[in-house]
Amino acid sequence: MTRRGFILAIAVCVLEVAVCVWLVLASNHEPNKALTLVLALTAGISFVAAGLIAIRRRPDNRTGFYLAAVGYLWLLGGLSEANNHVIYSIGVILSNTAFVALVALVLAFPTGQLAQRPDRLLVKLTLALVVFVGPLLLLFADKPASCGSTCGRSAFVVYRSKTIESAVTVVLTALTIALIVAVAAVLVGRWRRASSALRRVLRPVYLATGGTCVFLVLGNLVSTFSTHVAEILSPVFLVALVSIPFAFLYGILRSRLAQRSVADLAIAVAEREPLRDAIATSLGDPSLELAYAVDDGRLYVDRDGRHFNLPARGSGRTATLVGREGRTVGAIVHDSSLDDQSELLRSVAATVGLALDNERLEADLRSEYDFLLAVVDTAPSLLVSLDTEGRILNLNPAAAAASGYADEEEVRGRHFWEVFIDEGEREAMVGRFRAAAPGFPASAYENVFVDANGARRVIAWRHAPVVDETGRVVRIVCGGLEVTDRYRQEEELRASRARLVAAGDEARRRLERNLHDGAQQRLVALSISLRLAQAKAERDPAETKRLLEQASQDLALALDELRELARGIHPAVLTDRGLAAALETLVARAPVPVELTTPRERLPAPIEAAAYYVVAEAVTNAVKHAEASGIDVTVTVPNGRVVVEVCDDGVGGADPTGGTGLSGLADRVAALDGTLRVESDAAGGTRVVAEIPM
Amino acid sequence: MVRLAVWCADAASATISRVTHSILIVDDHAGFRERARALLESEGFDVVAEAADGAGALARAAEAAPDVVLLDVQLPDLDGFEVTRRLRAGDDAPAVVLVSSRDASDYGDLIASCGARGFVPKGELSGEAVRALLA
Repeated sequence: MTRRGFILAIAVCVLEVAVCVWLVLASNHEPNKALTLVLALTAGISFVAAGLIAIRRRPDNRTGFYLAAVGYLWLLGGLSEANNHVIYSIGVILSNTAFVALVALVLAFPTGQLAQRPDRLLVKLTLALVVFVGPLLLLFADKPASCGSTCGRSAFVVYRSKTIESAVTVVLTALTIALIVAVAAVLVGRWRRASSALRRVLRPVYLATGGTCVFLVLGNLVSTFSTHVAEILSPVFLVALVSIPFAFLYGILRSRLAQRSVADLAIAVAEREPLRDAIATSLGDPSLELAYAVDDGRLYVDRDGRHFNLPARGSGRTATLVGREGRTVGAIVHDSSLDDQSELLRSVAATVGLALDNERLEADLRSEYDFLLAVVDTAPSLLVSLDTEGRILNLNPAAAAASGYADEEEVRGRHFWEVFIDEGEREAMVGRFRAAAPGFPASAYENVFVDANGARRVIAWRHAPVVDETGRVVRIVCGGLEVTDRYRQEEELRASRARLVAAGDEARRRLERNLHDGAQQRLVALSISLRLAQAKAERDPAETKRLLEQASQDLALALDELRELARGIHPAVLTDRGLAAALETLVARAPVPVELTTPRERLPAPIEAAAYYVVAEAVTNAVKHAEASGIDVTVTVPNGRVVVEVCDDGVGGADPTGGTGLSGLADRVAALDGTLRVESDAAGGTRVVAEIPM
Repeated sequence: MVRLAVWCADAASATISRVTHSILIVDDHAGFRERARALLESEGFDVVAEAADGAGALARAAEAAPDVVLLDVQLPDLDGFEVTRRLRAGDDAPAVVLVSSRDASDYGDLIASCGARGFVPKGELSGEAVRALLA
């Protein structure tokens, strides 16, 4: 509003007041002129003043306009004090139009907009009631009965009728009450949906307006029965009415009041009070939250670094972005009832920009720290930090688990070597640690230790120093990788290789022995027999013949033994005809019945050989040690693997770890990534199962 | 008469070219012992005893006091070198001729160092070979 407009508005008000005062003082039907003047003028002037202030302060909000309208129209109602019948009658009609503005004012508060359809409808109905129904009384009565002696004479009487007058009065009262109830219902609904921040704004306005309505209804009701009591209620109604603009004024001024609290906020920020609490106090919104912009404002996090979703439009919450040096550093998330106080929000946002930016950096760091902490806590590696004396400052769950202690606190503060180094190696470790001081250069080593639970662990450690800004080592970070399983596997592999080598040596030894004891002896004997025969050929033909026969037998035996030996080295039928044929030959030589099931197709040669020797060994054991009377041999090829199963009905009790036969087979199967298991108990029966992937 | 003549002839040839040696045959293979006995007896040796292992060899040698022990290197209990050392340790120790179906080169210095007179591969065993070592 321009200054000229403002002066004009005041001038109009002054003019109205002057007219009103003159009319009241000159009125021939106003019994209580002093009281009427004080209250009527106070109410009118208050509304106009509050309205004009509101229009000046908040030109964007129509609340001021409605306030001023109520005041101006109310003062126009002073015309009803005129002794002139026409002016009196017009004054009566105009005085009621103030209620139209009042309804609009209440329904539009605090945004100043009649945004909802019911709001607009109620304003229109009030207007219709005031303009069309109220004035009907002036058409049918010189003076309405409800007026008593306080009314002038109607200038617009067309037909005098007590009946119609009474009917119009009743209808008017009923419609007025209905309207008030409807408005009240809308306001109650709005109250129930309102947030606590909005309620604080609405409360004084609703109380004042509600009180006014109560007295208006009472006045209307009472005036139907007693003009005297109605006259007494009239000033009370006026007092209530006067409180309305003050309530609205408070609502309008609250941002101005809050503006003062921005100064307090600046002090609170400077004194490093909790930022959220300080802003919440300034804006009067206890539900206020702060969000910190990270990732160039693409994401928001809360103080703890957790992801924060800014509220959606219409959710009842609003995010006011806080910028600094052209960047968004965060957001103040507050109740949407503060939306109309954009100036205040801008002031607050500007005040807290630096502090919020600092907190954003902290939140950023916290988020980073939380991420690192999560990485450290979930890492399978052991992570331990030490002070320069070698004491454990901190350790992650993997390291705590590897220490064997149930509680990390049992480990913290102890020397690294007391927890992770075996006693025998401790002294050397302490020596190395002390020798590394003060620089503690990065180092790596592996150590075997027995943890607090007695489990043997092998850890590959790496140590690295952490220095402060002066370059002094403040702590040492130790990263460890548990390689116990790798060690175990390597040891198993070494053992398996050694067993395979030993088995090979043993096989060669056995072969040499068999050759030496068998065929070689036969051939030696043959050689001697032939030499004897040669010596006796001439002198003793009979003996020579006997010796030659003996030599022939020796030769046949030597051949048999060589054949058997060759079969023991590798069955030729396995190479030539495959596993099925080789196993058929094998079981045919077994002294007990063997039920054999084999696949028809050829399998890879190493698998066929392993399967053959598994069956050969298991069948030999069943016959030799288990005294079995029947054996089932099954070779199947399910799902890309070969399963060899040998079951016997012998005495059981086979020990897969005893002897070289089964463990040698296990190594042979393991070399093909397969597994061999022996199920055998003292109750009888043994089941040997080898599974080899193709 | 014929028998006598043969005997005389044999005795004469033995007297002329050979000295009769009493011999102990030690081998864990009965087949070899049997054929060695036949061969050596046919060549004028007096096979006084047989043994199948080292302990038996030491015992038979003590009982029969042979001139020669034909000793297999590989025995179930003691090996031939050890048996040789023990046989050679006493007074009137018999000469020891080691035999084996392996080659002498398999044993290196062991044969010489244990006190044996020599080594004959089993496939080349003959009275001649044994005598050559005893000479």
